[in-house]
Amino acid sequence: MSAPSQPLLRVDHVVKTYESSAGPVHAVQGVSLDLQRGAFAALVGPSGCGKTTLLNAIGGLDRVTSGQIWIDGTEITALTDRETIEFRLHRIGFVFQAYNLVPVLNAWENVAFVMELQGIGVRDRRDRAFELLAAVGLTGKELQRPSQLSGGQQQRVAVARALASRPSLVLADEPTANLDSKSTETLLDIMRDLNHQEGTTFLFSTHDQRVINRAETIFRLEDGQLAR
Amino acid sequence: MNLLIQMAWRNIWRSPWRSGVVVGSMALGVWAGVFMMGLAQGVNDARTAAALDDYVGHAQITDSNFTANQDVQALLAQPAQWTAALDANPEVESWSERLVLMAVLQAGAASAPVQILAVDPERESRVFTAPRNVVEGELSSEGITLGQKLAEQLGAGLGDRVVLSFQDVRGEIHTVLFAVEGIYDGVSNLIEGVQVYAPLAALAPEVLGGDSLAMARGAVHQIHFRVQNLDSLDATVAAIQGAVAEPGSAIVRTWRGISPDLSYADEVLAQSLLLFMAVILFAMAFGILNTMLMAILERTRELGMLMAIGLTRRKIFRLVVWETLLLSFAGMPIGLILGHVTIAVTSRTGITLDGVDKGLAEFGLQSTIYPVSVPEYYLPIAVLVAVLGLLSSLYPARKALKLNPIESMRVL
Repeated sequence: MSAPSQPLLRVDHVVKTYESSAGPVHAVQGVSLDLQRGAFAALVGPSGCGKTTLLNAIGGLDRVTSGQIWIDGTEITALTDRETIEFRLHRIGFVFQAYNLVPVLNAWENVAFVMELQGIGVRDRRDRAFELLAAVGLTGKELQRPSQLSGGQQQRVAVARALASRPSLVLADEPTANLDSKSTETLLDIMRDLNHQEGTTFLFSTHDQRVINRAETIFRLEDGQLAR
Repeated sequence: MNLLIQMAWRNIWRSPWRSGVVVGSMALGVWAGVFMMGLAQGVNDARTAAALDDYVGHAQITDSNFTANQDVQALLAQPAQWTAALDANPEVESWSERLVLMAVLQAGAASAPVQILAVDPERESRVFTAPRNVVEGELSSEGITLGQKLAEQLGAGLGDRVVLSFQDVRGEIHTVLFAVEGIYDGVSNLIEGVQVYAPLAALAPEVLGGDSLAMARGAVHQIHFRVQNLDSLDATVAAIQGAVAEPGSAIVRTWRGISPDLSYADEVLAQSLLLFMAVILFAMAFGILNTMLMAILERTRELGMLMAIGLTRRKIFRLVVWETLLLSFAGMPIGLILGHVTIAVTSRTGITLDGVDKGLAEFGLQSTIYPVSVPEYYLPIAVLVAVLGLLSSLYPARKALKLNPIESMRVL
C-alpha cells in the first residue's frame, strides 16, 4: 500500500484514549497533520495537551486508538510490534528530554550503538560516530562517559545518536527542557545545521519559546486537538 | 567484542559493592565446594589405598568356584604356572599364595569365628601391610598371628595356646593347636577382628587331609599379587592371563572385582561430590537472581529507552542473560584457583582431625587426611555454574521482556 500523498509524515485523524480509574482520558482527539521532508517543525502547547502522546504515537512507541500515521510511505499504525521496532531502528531517531544515554557506554559507543543494532561494521560505525560527534561539537569527548559530560553535551550526544542511523525523521521530546540558555542555543544551532546538511526532518514537542522561535513549521495542540 | 556483551559486563560493575558481594560469595562457594571435594576424595583415596594394602590387594588369582562360594575344595589348579607368569612379568612387584579357611578359634573359654589365612609370612608381608604391622612378636612360620582387636576380645596374648577347628577338603573336621606368636595392629578393626594368620607350611597338610598329590602340586586357594603401577593394572592382568597356557577354571580379578564396594564408592563419591557442589551453587543462584532483579528494577527507564531506540525484546533478553552469566562466571575462576591452591598446600601438610581418630581407625584410616586435587571436576563445575546462571537469568530476563518502553521511560 502506498501513501496517499508525498509528505514525509502524515497523521490522519489520530485518536488516543487512555483508560484510567477516573474514566477514559482523551489525550489526542482526531489530530491530522502533514510534515514535509526536510522540515524543522515544532509541536507546541501547554503541559498535558497531548504533545508527548502524539509524538510517541508517531514514533511507534504507543498504539493509537484510531486513525493512521504514515512515515515515508509506510503506514506505521498497521505494522506489527516486531516490524515497528525494525522500522524505528532504521527510519526514526529519538531525542529525549532526559538525554537517556547508556551510562556504561562512552560517547562514541552511545552513538554507534544504534548502528551496531543495524548490523553496520565496527569501523564504519566508529567513523560515523566520530564524524557525528564532531558535527555536534564534541571532538575530543568521544571517550567520555555520560557522567563526565555536562547536560548540554549529553544532549548533543543524544542528537548524534538520533542521527546515527540516518533516519528520515528525528522526534525530539522537550529536548531543551533541562538545558540552560546557552546550551539550548548551541543545541538548536547544531540541529538546524544538521537539518540543512543531512536533510533530516526534525519534529519537536516543546513549550520552550526559544525552540518555537527557531521552528519553521509550528503545530499547536490544545486539549488534544490541533488549533488552527 | 559484541557491544551487547561489553554492555553486560560493564553493567555488572555499575554497583561494584553489590556485584562484588555476589562475585565474592560465588568464589567462596566454589572454593568451599572444591576444597570439600578434594577432602572427600582424599578420604576416599586413603580408604581405598588402606583397603588394598590391608586385605584386598591389587589383584588375585583364584578358582571361580572358590570365588562363588568359598568352597574349601575349590583349590587353584596348577598354581605353579601362575607363579611362573607372575615372576616373569616385570610389572608384578610381589605375590603371595594363600589357603583360606573359615574356622573357629578357641582361646581358653572364649571362642570366635575367624578367617584363617594360611600364608608364607615373608611373601605375605610383601603384598599386604597387616603382617608388617605386627606390634608384638612376629608373623611366624610356626605359630599364629591375631589382630589386636581379636586378641583383646578373646583375652589372648603372646605365647598363649589356642585351638583352630576347621573342615578339610574331604569334609572332615580338624582341630589344630597353635601358639600365639604375633599380634598385628594399625589396620581396619573389621580386619583385626576376624583375620588370623597361620603358617602355610604347617597348615597345608591338615587342610589337604593328607592328599599327597595336592601337596605335591602346592595347592592353594588364592594367589594375591601387587603391581608397580595401579594405573596399568588391567594391562598387566591381561598379560598374565595371556602367559598361562591352561588356566582351567582359574580367574584373575583386579581389586575392583574383588571388592566391588570400593569401586562403587569411587563412582558414588564422584556423583555425590557433584551433587554437593550443585546444592551450593543452587543456593547461590538465588542470590544472583535477586541481584539481577534489583538491577532490572533500577534500570527500568534505561531498558525502556533501549527498546525505544531499536533494541528488540530478544536482545533485551540476551543482555540480561549475558549479565547474569558473566556475574555467575566472574567468581568461579577465583574460587577454582583458591580451591586448587588450598588443596595443593594441604595435600602436603595434611589436615589432622583430632577427636575422630578412633572412628577413622575403624576404616583403617589415619587421623591426618591429605586432600587430593580434583581437576577432573572443574569442567563439570563450570557447566553447573553456566546452567544455574542461565536458569537464574530466566526470571529477571522475563521481567525485562514485559517492560513497555513508554511506561518504563516514565519511571524516575
